[in-house]
Amino acid sequence: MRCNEMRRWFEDGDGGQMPASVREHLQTCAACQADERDWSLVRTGFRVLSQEPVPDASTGFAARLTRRLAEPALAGRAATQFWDLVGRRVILVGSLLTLTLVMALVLPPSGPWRSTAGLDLSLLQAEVAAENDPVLPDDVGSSQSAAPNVQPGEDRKGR
Amino acid sequence: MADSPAANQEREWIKRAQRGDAEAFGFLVQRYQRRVFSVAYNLVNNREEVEDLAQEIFVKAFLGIQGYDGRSSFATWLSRVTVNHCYDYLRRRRTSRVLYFSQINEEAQRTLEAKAESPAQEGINVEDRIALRDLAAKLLSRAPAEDRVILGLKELEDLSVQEIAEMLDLKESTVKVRLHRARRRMLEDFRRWQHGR
Repeated sequence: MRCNEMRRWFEDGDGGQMPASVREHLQTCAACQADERDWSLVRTGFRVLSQEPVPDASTGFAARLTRRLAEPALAGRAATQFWDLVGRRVILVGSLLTLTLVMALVLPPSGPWRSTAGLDLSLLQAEVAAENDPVLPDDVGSSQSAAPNVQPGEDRKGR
Repeated sequence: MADSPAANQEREWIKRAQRGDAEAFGFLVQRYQRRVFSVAYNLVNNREEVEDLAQEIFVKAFLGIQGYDGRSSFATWLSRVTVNHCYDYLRRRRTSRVLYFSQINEEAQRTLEAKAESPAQEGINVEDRIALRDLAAKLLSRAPAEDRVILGLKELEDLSVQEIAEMLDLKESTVKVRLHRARRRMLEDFRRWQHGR
């Protein structure tokens, strides 16, 4: 047995009978021996302390307390807290319902249709972009006027 | 399965108290005052203040009873309120005065002496037992509030790890770790005190 096992017994310690393995370990381990000795002293003190009679409530304790609780200030606070709690729950449920309604109205329907449509749209956009990209009608005109298709020799011939 | 009439009655009192009915709460006070006094006394170990503390605990419970949802028993819920209140009290007080055996009233002394002489506790004489009692009270008064609460519940209230876990709303493994640490710290304090004598 090792100190860890002794410690486990110590942790679980419910004041029950010490197992034989723990007793054997205590014969050989001075540190655990000291722990066990000191703790049993403290524990005896706890045991005596726990036997002290618990003070009784003075006569009429419950009646005095009830009167105090029934005073308007405290009773009012208790009632206010009750309605606060009810009010908070109503507000919470109302907010959740409103949020659900808003989401249902604003967001497009979900499901497979939504994802396919999204995919189609993106493909379509890509196709349109590819078609429009090479030359625009304006670009054709301007590029022709800016760079006429003239062969190098033709200019000299024309002069 | 049908509940006992006492349980039905208690549920009725709780419902009424949740609507602010102080009289219904008064019945719950009568039923549980002994338990609240016992837990509070074992955690703070102060005779003079235990009644004031119990009163504050019941007021707090009355104001917070709407939060009781019936998942645990009312006794467990009320014990949790008690432990939390005592924990706050101990943290505020930081150091508390130790009530030594000689300062206990005569009736309590007689009861304690009779129990100390009982055959179940052989081996140590009455004087030593009383010295150990004062030592345990002193060590508890010097312990941090968290250690004091968990050791008080285990060693003085004699609750099981499972009951403490339920009361403090913790896992059993957490309670075991905290108990171990609290005992270790208390042993260290005991040795410091022995060397410093």
